[in-house]
Amino acid sequence: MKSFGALLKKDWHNHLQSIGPALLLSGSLLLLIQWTQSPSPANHVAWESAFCLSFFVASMSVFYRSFGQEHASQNFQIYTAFNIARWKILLSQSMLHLWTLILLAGSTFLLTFIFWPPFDYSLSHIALLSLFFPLCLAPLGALLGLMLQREREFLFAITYLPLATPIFLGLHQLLSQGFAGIWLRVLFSFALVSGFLSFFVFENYFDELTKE
Amino acid sequence: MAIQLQNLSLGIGRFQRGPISFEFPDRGLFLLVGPNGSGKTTLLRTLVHRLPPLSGAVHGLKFPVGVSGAESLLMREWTVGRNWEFLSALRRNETTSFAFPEEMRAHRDIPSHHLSQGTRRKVELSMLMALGFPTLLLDEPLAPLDQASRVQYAAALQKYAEEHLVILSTHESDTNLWPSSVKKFSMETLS
Repeated sequence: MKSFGALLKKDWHNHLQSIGPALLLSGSLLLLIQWTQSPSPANHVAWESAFCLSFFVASMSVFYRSFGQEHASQNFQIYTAFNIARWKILLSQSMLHLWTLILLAGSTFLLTFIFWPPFDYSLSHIALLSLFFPLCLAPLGALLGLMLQREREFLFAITYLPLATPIFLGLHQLLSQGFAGIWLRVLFSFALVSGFLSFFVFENYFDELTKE
Repeated sequence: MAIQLQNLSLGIGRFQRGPISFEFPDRGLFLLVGPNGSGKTTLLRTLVHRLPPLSGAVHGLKFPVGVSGAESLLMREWTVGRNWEFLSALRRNETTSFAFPEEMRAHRDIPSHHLSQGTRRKVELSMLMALGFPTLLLDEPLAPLDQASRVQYAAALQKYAEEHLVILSTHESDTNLWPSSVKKFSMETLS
């Protein structure tokens, strides 16, 4: 497991560098949405929509930086030569994505409270969503981060968006229509599906990156 | 166990070489000799699964293997010491621990992208030998080195090959670095 510890340490360093820009991005987007709102209260952007939009874009910037070290150094083949199991690489990235997304979700919620007062949503529900929602996205994000290393941004539209959209819709429903159990189950199902799917697809994309 | 190349045809696009049938024992030093474009790099890349064989097969090559080639082994932004910690931790899975190569101590705190090509290659070769891989596959490992370093690392690799298998590619002009007893495989014999 020492190799897994080395991967975690490497990814930790990478994610420390990505959390700052992601927070700045989500804050800027919330500000922009707030400032450019229609003056008519009937047409105001709901705080739930503002949160979902800023979190979606900010999380992309986190995913884009996944495997940044390997990509800059062009040394994906080291993992193959060193016989490092793919699941360790995926799990390490997913765990660090989870940590970063929890921090990002918590901070974006906090900024949303400030920009959209008064706020009357249950804090315990917010805390639960800040933990649970990133769990659904973390493995997908690791997969997306890997796919983007080959400059195939079209994969973002045809694979990541269809998989991530139900998760964001579920989050929006939970935020706007109360904490209904059905949507929690939907999110939980997607956490399982996205985890399994990422596990199986990850290996193919990783092998492709080690080949010419 | 020996590495066997069984009717191995390799290449990419219109560039094709082979078929090769050859057997490397589990220790010793082998030179793949030939001019540019003769297929040395292609053979090494096929061995480490970076290129699929056109036909035939490679048997007996067990991973992990130590590799060095045109792409650096080192993360660009990291210091040599940090790269060592990372690589040795990845390798520590199966053996106990590895000592940082003493000859690289002066470069330990330098980010690898600040190293010259020659120094970076020396760091990589020292690290690979210090990590004790059973097999090293090296693509023109001595090419960026000065003459004194070439002699030094050729001797170090020969010593390493007493207990391990080292397959490296080189040009005909560099074969004088190696004793005549070292086995050579001429890539020019391949069609």
